[in-house]
Amino acid sequence: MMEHALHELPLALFTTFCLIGGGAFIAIAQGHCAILADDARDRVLKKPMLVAAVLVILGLVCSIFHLTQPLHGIYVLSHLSSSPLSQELLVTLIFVVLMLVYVVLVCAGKLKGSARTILSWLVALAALVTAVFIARAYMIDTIPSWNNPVMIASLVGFLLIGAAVSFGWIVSMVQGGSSEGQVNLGLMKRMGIICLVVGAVLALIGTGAQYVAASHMTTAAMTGSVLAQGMFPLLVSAAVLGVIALLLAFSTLTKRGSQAFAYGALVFALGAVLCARLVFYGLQISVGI
Amino acid sequence: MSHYAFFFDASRCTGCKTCELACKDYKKLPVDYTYRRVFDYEGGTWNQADEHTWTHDVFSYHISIACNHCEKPACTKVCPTTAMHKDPETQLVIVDANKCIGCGYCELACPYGAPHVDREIGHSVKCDGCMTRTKAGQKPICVEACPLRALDFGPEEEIEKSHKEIDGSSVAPLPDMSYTMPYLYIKPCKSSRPAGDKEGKIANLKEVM
Repeated sequence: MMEHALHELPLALFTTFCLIGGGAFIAIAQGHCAILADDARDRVLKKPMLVAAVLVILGLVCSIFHLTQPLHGIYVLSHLSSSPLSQELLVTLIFVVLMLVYVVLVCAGKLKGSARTILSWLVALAALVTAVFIARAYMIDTIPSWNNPVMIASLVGFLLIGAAVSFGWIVSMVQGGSSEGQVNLGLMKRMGIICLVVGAVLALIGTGAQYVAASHMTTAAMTGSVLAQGMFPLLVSAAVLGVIALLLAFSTLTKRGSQAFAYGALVFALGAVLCARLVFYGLQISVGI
Repeated sequence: MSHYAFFFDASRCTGCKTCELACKDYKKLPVDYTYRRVFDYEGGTWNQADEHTWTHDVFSYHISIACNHCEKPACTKVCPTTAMHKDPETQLVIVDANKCIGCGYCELACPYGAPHVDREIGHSVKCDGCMTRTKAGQKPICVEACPLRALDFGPEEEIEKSHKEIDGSSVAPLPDMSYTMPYLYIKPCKSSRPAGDKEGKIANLKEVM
């Protein structure tokens, strides 16, 4: 059973890195609204932006490595009308290109003021749309354990957890630096807590609903309860790591915590989402053989 | 034009797997996968009667399955590049190796487990209905090899004409035909259970999965 989940490890890594990294861009975009001076924005937002971009690129590399012929990807354009996977690949590509343009322009110092804020929100929006399209691509008619709208809730939840962790990181950086007077910290904290609560609820509903539904499915080839039992240690790991990540993120958002808490929240969130994604892949039950 | 269809007679199949072997040999397939698989479907139990005697209701039968070149193929629907497509001439579902990215979605989506991503050769592979033989007016190699003539293949009308006992329904462990509308006609055997049956299990999972 575990082999089944590990077989899809590159895809689990892709979704984990892309969602946590993509979520960070929501916090970064909000940071542009909350931090008033351009120099303070650079000091505070550059590091989370680069880490988020590296995570997204890492995710993309993982997804490319699971393909046998990535160069044939150009033909994705020929099936956009009906294949959710084609649509997912195109949306992901748009997100990554937008993100790279944004990161390069910021690093080159060419993006200032409202243009920077608008582009950062576009990247954040693209990340959200990508999460929805990734979820849709897994809603396949012939795999009832995946074909459920709660998949969208689950993936958007993971994205918002990534956002909450980054909100916490940005808040802890501001509190530990010289820019505190130039930042609307209350807004950042409120938005961070909203992302944390909504993200946790959506992730819990999505992952929990899929686990319970799959555990009640039985086919001639698979018994859902047996599969679910095999995935239980990973589910518990996801829950434990997720609770630690959320507590650390909450601490950075509500107290004067050190940046170490924010780094910890990021690492535990990555671990939690990876475990949850492996549970998802391990609970693949077809209508057939 | 007429669509090709497979016919399978469950009352004749002994599960000898000659069809599987012939396909593997003809297509020179490696050891780790086959295009055609024979599933052993078994079930039943012992029941105690009032007078303390025991009776059983065990059943067992075999189903030989390859790609059914469906009317609504799940593999072509999810394929992001149209590499998995219907051949315009024969309507058989085939892979364009020059377009396949090897994502494996066809393998995930097909409820008959027909496609497989061969990482050695770098693209998805599957039964093509022995297209070169079919175009030459011959039957696929699995059909020719079956010693009990449990398999047949040909234009749909011919299959319907020559096998009048078929009723168009599916049998376990295959899925309900409404998912992909396979071009597969099955003559059930006495033990056959309908698709969706919960009484039996695939008994040779390690062999076929």
